[in-house]
Amino acid sequence: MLNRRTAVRRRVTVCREGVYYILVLIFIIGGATARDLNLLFILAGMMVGPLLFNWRFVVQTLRNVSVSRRLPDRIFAGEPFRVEIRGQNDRRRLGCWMLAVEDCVQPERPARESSKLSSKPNAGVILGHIGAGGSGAAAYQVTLPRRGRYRFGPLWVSTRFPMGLVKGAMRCRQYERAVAWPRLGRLLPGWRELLTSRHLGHHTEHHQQGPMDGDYFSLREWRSGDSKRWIHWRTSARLGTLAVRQFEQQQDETLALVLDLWTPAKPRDEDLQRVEVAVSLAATLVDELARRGHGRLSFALAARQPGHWEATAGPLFARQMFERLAMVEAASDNHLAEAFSAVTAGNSTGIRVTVISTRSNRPASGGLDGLFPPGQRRRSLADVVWLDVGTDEARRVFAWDEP
Amino acid sequence: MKLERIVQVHIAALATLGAVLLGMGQRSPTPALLTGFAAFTSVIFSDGLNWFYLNRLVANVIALLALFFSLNDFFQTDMRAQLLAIGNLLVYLQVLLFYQRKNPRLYWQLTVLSLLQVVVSAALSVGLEFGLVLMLYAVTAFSSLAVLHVHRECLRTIEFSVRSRIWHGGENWLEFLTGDFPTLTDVIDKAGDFARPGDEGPDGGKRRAAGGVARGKADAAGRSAKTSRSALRREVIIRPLVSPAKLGQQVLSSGLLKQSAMIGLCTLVFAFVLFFTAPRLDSSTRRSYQNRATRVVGFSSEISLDGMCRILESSDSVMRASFRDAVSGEPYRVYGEPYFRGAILTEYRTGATGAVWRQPSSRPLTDSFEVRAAVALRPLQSPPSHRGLVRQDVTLQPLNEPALFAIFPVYASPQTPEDVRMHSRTEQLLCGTTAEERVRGEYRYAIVTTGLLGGVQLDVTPLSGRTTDLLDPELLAFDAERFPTLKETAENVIASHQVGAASRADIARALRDHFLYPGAYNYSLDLSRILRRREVDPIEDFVASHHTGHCQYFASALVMMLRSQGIPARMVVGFRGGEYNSLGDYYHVLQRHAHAWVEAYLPADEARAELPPEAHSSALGGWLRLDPTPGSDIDRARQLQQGWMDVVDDVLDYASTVWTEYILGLTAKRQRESIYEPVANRATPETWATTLARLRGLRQWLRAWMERLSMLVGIVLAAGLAIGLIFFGRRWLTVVSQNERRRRWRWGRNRQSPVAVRPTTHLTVLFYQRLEAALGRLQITRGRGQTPRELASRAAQRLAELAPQAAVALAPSRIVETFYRVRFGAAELPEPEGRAVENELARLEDAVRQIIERPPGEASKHPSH
Repeated sequence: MLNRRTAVRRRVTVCREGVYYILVLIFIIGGATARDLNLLFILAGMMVGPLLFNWRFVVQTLRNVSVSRRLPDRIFAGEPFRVEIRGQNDRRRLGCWMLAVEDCVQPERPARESSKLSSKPNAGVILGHIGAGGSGAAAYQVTLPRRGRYRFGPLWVSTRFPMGLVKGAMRCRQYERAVAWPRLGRLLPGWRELLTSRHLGHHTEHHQQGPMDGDYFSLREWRSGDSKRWIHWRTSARLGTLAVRQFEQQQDETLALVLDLWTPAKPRDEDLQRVEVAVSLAATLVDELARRGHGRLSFALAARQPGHWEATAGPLFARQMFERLAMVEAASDNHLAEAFSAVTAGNSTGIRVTVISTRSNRPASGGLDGLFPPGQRRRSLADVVWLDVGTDEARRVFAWDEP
Repeated sequence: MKLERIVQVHIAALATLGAVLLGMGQRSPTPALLTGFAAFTSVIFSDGLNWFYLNRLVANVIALLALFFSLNDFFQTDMRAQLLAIGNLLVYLQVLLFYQRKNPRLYWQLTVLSLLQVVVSAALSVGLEFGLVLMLYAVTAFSSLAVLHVHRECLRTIEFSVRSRIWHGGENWLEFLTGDFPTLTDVIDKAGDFARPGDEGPDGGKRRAAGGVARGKADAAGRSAKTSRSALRREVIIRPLVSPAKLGQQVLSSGLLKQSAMIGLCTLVFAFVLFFTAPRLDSSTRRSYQNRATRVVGFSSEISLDGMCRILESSDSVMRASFRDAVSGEPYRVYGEPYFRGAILTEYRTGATGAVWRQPSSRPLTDSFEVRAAVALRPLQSPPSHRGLVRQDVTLQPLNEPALFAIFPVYASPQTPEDVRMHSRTEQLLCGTTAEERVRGEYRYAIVTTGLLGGVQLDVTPLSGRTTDLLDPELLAFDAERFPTLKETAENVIASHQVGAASRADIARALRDHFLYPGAYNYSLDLSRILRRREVDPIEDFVASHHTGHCQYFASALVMMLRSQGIPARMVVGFRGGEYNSLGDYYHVLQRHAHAWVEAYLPADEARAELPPEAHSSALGGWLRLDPTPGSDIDRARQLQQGWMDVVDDVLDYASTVWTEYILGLTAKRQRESIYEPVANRATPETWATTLARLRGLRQWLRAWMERLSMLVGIVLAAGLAIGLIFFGRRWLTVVSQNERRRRWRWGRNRQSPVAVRPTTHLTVLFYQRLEAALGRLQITRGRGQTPRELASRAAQRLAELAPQAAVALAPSRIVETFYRVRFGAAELPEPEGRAVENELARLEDAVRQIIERPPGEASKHPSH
């Protein structure tokens, strides 16, 4: 919530219409004085009144109003979401009308690409009316095109009510940062076929621990495909909508996944596009596994920020992975060996590794050839599925709305 | 109703009201009709039904033509004509704008044009109706600005969306960071992709364009949006979740209009406070357009009778006159219509320039005080020691004439300005200041008179002691060869009335009554259709041939008839009556009350006999006022019929007076006297503390009432509207009736006599009817042109002959005097007096019965009529 302490600057200016208005007013006063026309004096008085009233109203509104912004906790690139702007009117008797709240939404560039962020607003809402002592809300819808970190703010609160002659505006230093997770695509049936027929990267060590499908994690709303056994009837009755229990899967059905984000030193647009497709595919896969409650997931990143994570595929893990994937960047260095080692190190022999890569599995393109010591190469190569996102094979298993 | 439609209706109403104000200044209904027609047809056919719009190029071409057309009038030396040309140009431009496709900028242009029209009209108008319409205009303007502002703000929701799309629409990422905002016009012009019909909005409904703003650009912008759609989708897309229309509805339903009305009322109060307190410059040399001196229609120090044309009656104000007791200062009620004497015309000349009445001086009056002083201008005398002194307070509008108007005889009072002078030869009241000084503003003067007694203006004006022109030969100038029919008529009248040996007053009244006899003469202001015999003097022609004329003809003919009988007579021009305002106790005299009547000289004894004993008289005799113009009773009858419309008229006229005195006439001097000095005199700490305490109490009281005030505000507005409608309806009816009268005259219909037009039966007092009935049984009836007083005189003679012992001979005279007071003096009859009249009538009726029931031998004494 913003209040006047957080407002760094409050300014009252005359609008363009107000300038015209004042020019006409000066003309009238001049005519009245020069010609001693009392009717023009009255007219001038009638015009001065609204001007002063407008100014007073604007000042009072800004002094007694506060605004706040509320962002959703899950933001995916390419998926519209609501940003709610809430206004609070502290005046006891008078409401406020037509309060314009403008927001600035812009991506934060990496530090090495430091560029000054603009604070010019590019989004906004109009709070039509807030009653005396009450509050009101309005929302705008944002669709962020790319994954990454975005900055919201500052908020500009302005009003010109009632005449539109004087504008009062204040800049509220309220910034929020949000991470847009990778754009989610759609796994096609080809992916399931690939998964089942070739047992892609699966290593099954099933440990059924009881009647339930894992450890209870939380409640969520029911989605198509959920088992009826997961429905939590008491909560559903209370909410009026179906709610299901989520479990941290304890099935040791491990999927090893390597995301290879490689680009040339001077990437072209197609290279960057491939990176986005690869990240999106990885995120979609993680999301799918988390929603379905698949077993374990061993995930390695071969990118500028390499890393390896392994856990039961669930919402918490998915969220963690989305955060990582949102910020990951491609690299021209080859980190594939480390990533491959990481996903195979803690797992039993014969685990299949799925590599989602921006390049093909050819020596010329810097693929698996030559990455491993001679003793490991054969076995590893036999258990690897290489999915080049630039090929038709990738299109058969994955569809996404190209940004 | 959609918000934009509300905006359109507001702007249409605002423009129409502005044009009405302009029309008031121009004294023409054309601007209002033209603008009103364009405003409302454009709202219906252009904005509502989308039938047609004016192409901008065509509109610009027409605007240029209008500009050249108006320039023709603009390059004139007369500033007023220039203002009129500007006003007309504003109307033309406004009409052109109305038929163009609307957007907020155009609404603003229409508003500014309307405001400029009001500015022009404020420089041209002075009437109270202007003030009333101006207040209505102000409230409409505030409301229009408010809804227009809301409309624009609602459109900003589109601006947010479009700005975001356009801003981030480029392929270059850098553009996202460095791109600048488009202007509102750019936004609206490029908002086409938001205007696609059928586009599903985020709220699930059909998202339409915000009004008609972007409709014209929809196709082009839609095409460009389609081609760059893929590019757009790479960038941030921001959309509002509520449509402008829905937002507008939300705001409208939140009491916006009520809020606007309250703002409007507060602003009006503020405007008046500012108006009264803002210091004025002392601007005696400046001259406004509307305060220019006007020539009085009908009044002139020289009258020409040869113009056989139509005289237009004007409703322009001439003066306001109120009467107060000179000693106590209490308002003094005058019954009947006062005659305000202006100029005295004695010299009748005919020549190449036509027949003209002039003042006795051979040298025309000039505006120069020094020159007039040289021709015996003298200050007013002090009043005689007379208990019936009445003070006349007159506020005279700017006139080109040097004359002042008053009920005569006049005397100086302590409040009389020093520059009020009397012309010793013409007995005309004049103002001593120069025309340049006087012409700018109103002129106020106060003088006392002895010409009012018991609320009634005396018929005889005693001569003042210093008048030395009694033997002016012009007063008897009469050319018998020039007026043969007139002279013969006068002699016949005297013979028929058997007043040959009677007093001058009786002869004069007999001659006057000759013109008043119903059907004998016709009163008309339109002489254009009269067949005039050019070889005959116009007065002779009037009496001998056409018998149609206005007051100047009647007065001229009576003057000549009196002179033909050797009675000194002269013509007087001035004003008769006026619109009495019971609220402010004053007469509002308009141009159309200008009048000409006759004064006949009576010797001292006759003058004294004509005056009540307690009235002031003069040893030099007096002037008997005679008004030969028929129709004199019309206004009097109207006065007696005070209906609710008259009350409304009074209120409006009083408001008009206040408007004139304290709005139009608020000069630096008056502001100092009426506002600053009273405030300064009370500006002690104690008074301020008291005032502040009162204000606090008032504030609390207002707060308590504000919650209940919403309905009251509506009622007040409705009442204001109703009063406005009544006022304008009344004015309209007056104009229509005047037009109807003129139309009737144009078609040659004779004007009926006042008696025929308005039967007097409803005005006649019953006891007088009983008197006439009783006398009728004795065959004593009122003859043609005979007044009730003359009837009473005749009846007294006959009753004295028929029943000397009954002592009822004087009863008719007493009853008639009472009748006069009730009938023409508008006096209430007190109960004792009513009983006395009843007794008199009863005794008279008994006497009549006795006379009728006498033995046949005495029947020969009955009168033969």
